[in-house]
Amino acid sequence: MTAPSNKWIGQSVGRLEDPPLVRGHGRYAGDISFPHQLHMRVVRSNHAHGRIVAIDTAAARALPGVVAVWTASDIADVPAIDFREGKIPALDPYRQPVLAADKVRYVGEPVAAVFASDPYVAEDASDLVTIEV
Amino acid sequence: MSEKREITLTINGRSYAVRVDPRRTLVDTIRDECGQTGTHIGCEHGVCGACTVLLDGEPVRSCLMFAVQAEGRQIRTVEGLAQGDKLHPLQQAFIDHHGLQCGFCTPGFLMLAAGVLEREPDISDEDLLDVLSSNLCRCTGYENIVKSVRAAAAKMTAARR
Amino acid sequence: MKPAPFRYHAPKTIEEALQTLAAVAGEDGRVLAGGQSLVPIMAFRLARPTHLVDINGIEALHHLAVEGDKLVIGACVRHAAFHKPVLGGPLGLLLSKVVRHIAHYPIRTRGTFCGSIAHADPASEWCLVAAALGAEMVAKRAGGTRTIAADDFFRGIMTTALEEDELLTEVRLPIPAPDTRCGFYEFNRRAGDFALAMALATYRVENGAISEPRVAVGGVEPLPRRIAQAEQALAGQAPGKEAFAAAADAAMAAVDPLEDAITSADYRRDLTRTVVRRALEQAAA
Repeated sequence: MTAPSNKWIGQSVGRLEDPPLVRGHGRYAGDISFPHQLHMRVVRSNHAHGRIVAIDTAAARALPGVVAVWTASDIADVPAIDFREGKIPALDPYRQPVLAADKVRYVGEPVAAVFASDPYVAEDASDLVTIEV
Repeated sequence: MSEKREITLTINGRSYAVRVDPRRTLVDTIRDECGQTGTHIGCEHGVCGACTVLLDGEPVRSCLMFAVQAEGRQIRTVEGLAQGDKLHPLQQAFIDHHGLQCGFCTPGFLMLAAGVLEREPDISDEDLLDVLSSNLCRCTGYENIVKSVRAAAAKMTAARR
Repeated sequence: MKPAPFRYHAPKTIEEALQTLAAVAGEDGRVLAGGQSLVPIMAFRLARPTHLVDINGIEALHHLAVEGDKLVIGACVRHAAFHKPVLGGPLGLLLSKVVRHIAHYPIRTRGTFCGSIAHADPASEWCLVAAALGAEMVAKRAGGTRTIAADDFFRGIMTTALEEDELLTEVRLPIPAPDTRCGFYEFNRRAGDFALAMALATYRVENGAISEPRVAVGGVEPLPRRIAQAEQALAGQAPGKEAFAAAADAAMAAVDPLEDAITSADYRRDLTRTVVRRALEQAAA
């Protein structure tokens, strides 16, 4: 059997990505920018556990630049998040919904999603969403 | 409430006429209105340094300034470090000494180091370490960043002689 | 992480700034100088000023000079200005030593001395300097000017004697005698963190005995202050381990430390003794 090539193994090899990265030409997730794209801001629960009584999105939706404010009822057809192991019917009732529906279960749980033309406006709108728990 | 203002930003010697709300941060304006995305946003509250640019030669956190405050000032970002094809000694040193992995913090470190070495070419090693401790890196563990900057500083000093 | 909307004002003169403040202060108008404390708070929307009065364009506020027996520091003088001693003698050296503890280099290129004073964070190094040395704060409003002594100026956590419509235009630091010994020691968990405890000590030596002692502690209580009991323990004593230990113990007994989720009052009390002792040892060195 012929000896394996030592051309690369054990050698210090220059990285291909360094030249563009040190020039600031990297393309990161935050650099994605399409014309007319929307910016989403998640409104989160301040309560560790509780029953959602009401979510008021009217003021947020009325803000100029806001395209939509979604809560669980707006995405009723979106399934809850499956476990990493895949679909396990016995665990179905324990999956986290994309947006909290009847209960909030941790501080920070997503309750509503604001979509706006601009991240500043999205944040302004998310301040206007009130959640009664 | 905030009326947009027409301002001109000078970035790497080029003028950009933009229209921004007063609350629009300098970093957002550099990246979006001016299209220079080499400057990155990490924490957006002044602790990570990924947004570091040079303002009239001094390193500043561009997430803590509003664009309207930077009119009439000379802004330099990572895109302005290289002279055409020729990399800045700092950029070359980061490549040679493996001073970056994902590269997200790198522009911030490059501008911080460039600004400090230009203003204090004979900075002591202790002070240099103190300055470099300003920025955060999640990947490298900092050793190679320090190595890279030291190597570049030595090259820049030698080039001056 | 983006600030709430505000109206932006960029006055070109102190007069203009005062007129603007008079008009907007009642509507939550805030002064913007370095912005290194204010803008992060605005990014978190913990502060939502409806007006920002940017004073960076006012030439007169960039003033830094010795006037008589005081160092006069204008509102827009950056922390970085103090990296190299701004005057000969112990004060210049002290300020250049203290400044290195303030945040990090790029924060210091924008943040201002007077901004720290007006912000009155208990962990502010400059506030400790002002309290220890007996600084005078000059506050202007459309109606007039007043000078506020450090003793009166700091009222509590982020609370000062400044009125809503007042602008802190300068701080006047008394210049200590050329033979004054100065020491500063700060403790934090990581370099660049807020101080958990810090002390500033100055004294002169006359005929082998300590005279004019000043011992001030910061980061421990809601506001920085001189600790009379520690100073009394030093006055007339020979400078050295014994006197310093006595002063440190006295300081520890005298403080009523802050308590928070991360740091207990007991820990701060204990730190007080150490930082006072080390500040004194620094002064003696």
